[in-house]
Amino acid sequence: MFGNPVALFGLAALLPIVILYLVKPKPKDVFIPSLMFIREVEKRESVLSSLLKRFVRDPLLLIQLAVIFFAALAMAEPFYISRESVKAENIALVIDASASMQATDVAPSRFAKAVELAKSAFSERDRISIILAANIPIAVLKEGTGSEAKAILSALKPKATPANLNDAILLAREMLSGENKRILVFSDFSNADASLAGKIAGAEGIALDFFRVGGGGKNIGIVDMKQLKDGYSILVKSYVDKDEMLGIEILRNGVLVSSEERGIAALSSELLTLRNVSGTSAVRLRYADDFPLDNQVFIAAPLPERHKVLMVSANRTSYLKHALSSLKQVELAEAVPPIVPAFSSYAAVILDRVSRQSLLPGMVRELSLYVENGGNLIVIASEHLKALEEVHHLLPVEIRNDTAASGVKIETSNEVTRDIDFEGVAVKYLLAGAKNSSITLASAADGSPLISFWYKGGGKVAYVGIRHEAGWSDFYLKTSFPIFWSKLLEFMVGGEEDENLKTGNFLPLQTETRVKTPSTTVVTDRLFLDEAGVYEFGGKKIAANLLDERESNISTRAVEGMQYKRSFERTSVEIRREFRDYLLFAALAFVIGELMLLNRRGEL
Amino acid sequence: MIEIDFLEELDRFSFMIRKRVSSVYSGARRSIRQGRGIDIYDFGEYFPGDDLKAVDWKLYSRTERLYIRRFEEEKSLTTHILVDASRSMDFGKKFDYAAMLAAGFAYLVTKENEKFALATYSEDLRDVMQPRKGKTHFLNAVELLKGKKLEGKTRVNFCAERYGGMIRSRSLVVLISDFLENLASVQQGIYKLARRNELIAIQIFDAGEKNLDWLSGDAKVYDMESSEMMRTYISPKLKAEHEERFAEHIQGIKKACSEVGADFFSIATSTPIFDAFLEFSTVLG
Repeated sequence: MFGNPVALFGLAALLPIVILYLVKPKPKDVFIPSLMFIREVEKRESVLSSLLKRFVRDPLLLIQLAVIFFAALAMAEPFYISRESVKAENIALVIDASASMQATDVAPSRFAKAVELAKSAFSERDRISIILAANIPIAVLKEGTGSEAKAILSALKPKATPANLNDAILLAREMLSGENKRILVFSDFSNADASLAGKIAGAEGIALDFFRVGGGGKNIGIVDMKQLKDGYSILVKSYVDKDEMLGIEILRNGVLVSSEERGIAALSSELLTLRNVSGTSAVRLRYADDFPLDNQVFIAAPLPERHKVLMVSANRTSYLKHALSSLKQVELAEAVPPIVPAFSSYAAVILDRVSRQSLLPGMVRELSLYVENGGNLIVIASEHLKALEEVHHLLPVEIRNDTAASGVKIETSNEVTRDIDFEGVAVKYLLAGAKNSSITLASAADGSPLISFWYKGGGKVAYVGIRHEAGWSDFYLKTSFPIFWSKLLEFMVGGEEDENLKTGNFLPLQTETRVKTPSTTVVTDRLFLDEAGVYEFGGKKIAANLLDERESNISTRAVEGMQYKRSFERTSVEIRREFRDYLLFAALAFVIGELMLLNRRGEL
Repeated sequence: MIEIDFLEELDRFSFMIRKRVSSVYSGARRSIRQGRGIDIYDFGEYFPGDDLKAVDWKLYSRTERLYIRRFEEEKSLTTHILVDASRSMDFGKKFDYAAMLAAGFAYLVTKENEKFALATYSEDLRDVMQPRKGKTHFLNAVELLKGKKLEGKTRVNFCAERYGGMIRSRSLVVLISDFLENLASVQQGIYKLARRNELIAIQIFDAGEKNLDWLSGDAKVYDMESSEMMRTYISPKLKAEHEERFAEHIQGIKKACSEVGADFFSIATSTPIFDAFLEFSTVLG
């Protein structure tokens, strides 16, 4: 467009010049004795100028035409209208890095698409902050330039965790400063409702735009895994609206050990049970869908080995002995005091009925040392216990003289007491009081602890006040009795750490530890499980899996009430950009070029 | 158009070259050899057996001693005049000027009763007049030059070789040309002609062909000899550089002449012909 189009008539001046050029006399035919010297002179000219001369017979004409052309064009004041943002903005880009963003229903992936969209959402003049929305928001850039933002965006990778968009938006709100604040959220919004944070941001005058990527795709994935006594149950869920066939593969230490085909009905779940799992295993679904991340689950923890348990008792036979012998995970050894083996080779020691006489000082010292060094001791109430003062300091309870009778009341429902039926159980018990820092799981009516434990030194000591003998209680007759003991032993000797975790969790480590993650190696004291796979540290293996039904459901529809955008639009105005000056410079450059040419020819 | 009025002015010149020449014929050439001649070289004491005709009796009368006159033996010298009659000599009055110079040399030689030969050349020798004495020979030569048609390219080297083979004895060779050809060929030609001969190389040029003053702007420039065309823009800079190249060419010829002891003159056609001979007088008699 032109501001002064009349000036374009100036271009008509080109015509006479061209005509003059056309009608100008033809070059003279002249004869000279020898062209020898002219040829020599021209031979010394630069390659460029001789080439130019070959194609352009009269460069002066072209130069003059260019001068008039650019001058006339400049006088016509050409301009163009560009849409540009009014001024630089402070933009926070919130990129959803949740597992579902790895879905490939849009090529190459939802996350890559989001990054691509984000890159086009700002200009070099803006100040950019970038927040990666995993289950905890991570600020990766604070008020950087456009080029910094682009470099960082290119390096971002999605996580294998759920996302918390609300927290990410709130963090973005805190990071933004100055005028013209804007938050741009790039997500599949598969299970994230960011409307609350959006409202907060909006109330503060921050412009908030949601960009939705993906939102379709088919998926069948593993959404849950539970550890059983002798294996694992794995829940496979189909989000596909037709029946499908799945290949199910089990790998042990990376080697395929079994493979089977199984059908799964449309939009239904299938439960798989894995038994005899040991070592590092993986279950893999062979099915081509848009979300490969949940097609595999890693299992790091082998089933607990059989625990060696020593029962120290004067009784040769007891119900407890039978119950423990029947437990698969227990390898029971018995000892009749005063002759006892070394405690240190046992995962747990059960002190049943031991008389004062048979308790030798050496044994007491051994027992204390055993607990101190991390051993697990279970002391069962008996008529001798009051007299065994040497071991009282190990107990979580203060034993008194008298006995009483009562029912059993569960004080704390944990993995020991949960699902154990104490209903109708009557016990004769030792009156006792809970020591500080002990935890009472079950108590008598008067509050005397019946089942209690505490941590002593490096080990754990439990007190069981429900004795398994007629005259003491009838609990040993209940079906819950062996279950209780199984659970108690598992609780006592089992690790506190769960070796099969979900992604998105933090795993506190004692010290700075070198950890081999599924993709790299890090040194940290706080391990963030942001990838699905096996983590190795200190000779130990931990598996992390997504196991998130909501993330696996990649086909969720958009959250109602949220306004999504597909492309980036920013507040812009039409700006008239003139380039008259450039044209004038061009004309001037050609004038200088003409002068140089004339000077070169020696005509100045 | 060859004018011969200037020839009278040349009467003032005695065509002699103070250079050693060798010939079995007596002539007007001064030789440092003693022998029969006209000019007394010096006097010597008489010894019996000397020619009595050589005794200077006048000197005897004054000194009463016998002295004999010793004469410088006079030698004859053939002059070979080679005139370039190529197409390039048709520029301006170059050929006319060259022809007048040739006529001038022939006149001077004839006046001394010496022999001269005349030849024109371009790509090859064209008209060759054998060495002879006499006015008729001179007039024939002038007639030849007058009606000469100019054609062909200059090939000094080739023609010098051909003509050199025709020279029987040590002679004076006057080579008149514009020398507008490859410098190497000119140099080779000069080397060949100067071998066993005295050589005077005279370059004739027109000021216009040197500085191209009469040309400017876009032009189709034709080579007169090859008819090759070149379209170019004749700028002052090109003219200056052309003149520079021209001067370099002349310097090259001059250097070649000095290497073989030949005399070189570069004469513009605007130079009065008598002035040109004045210039030659530095090497003539």
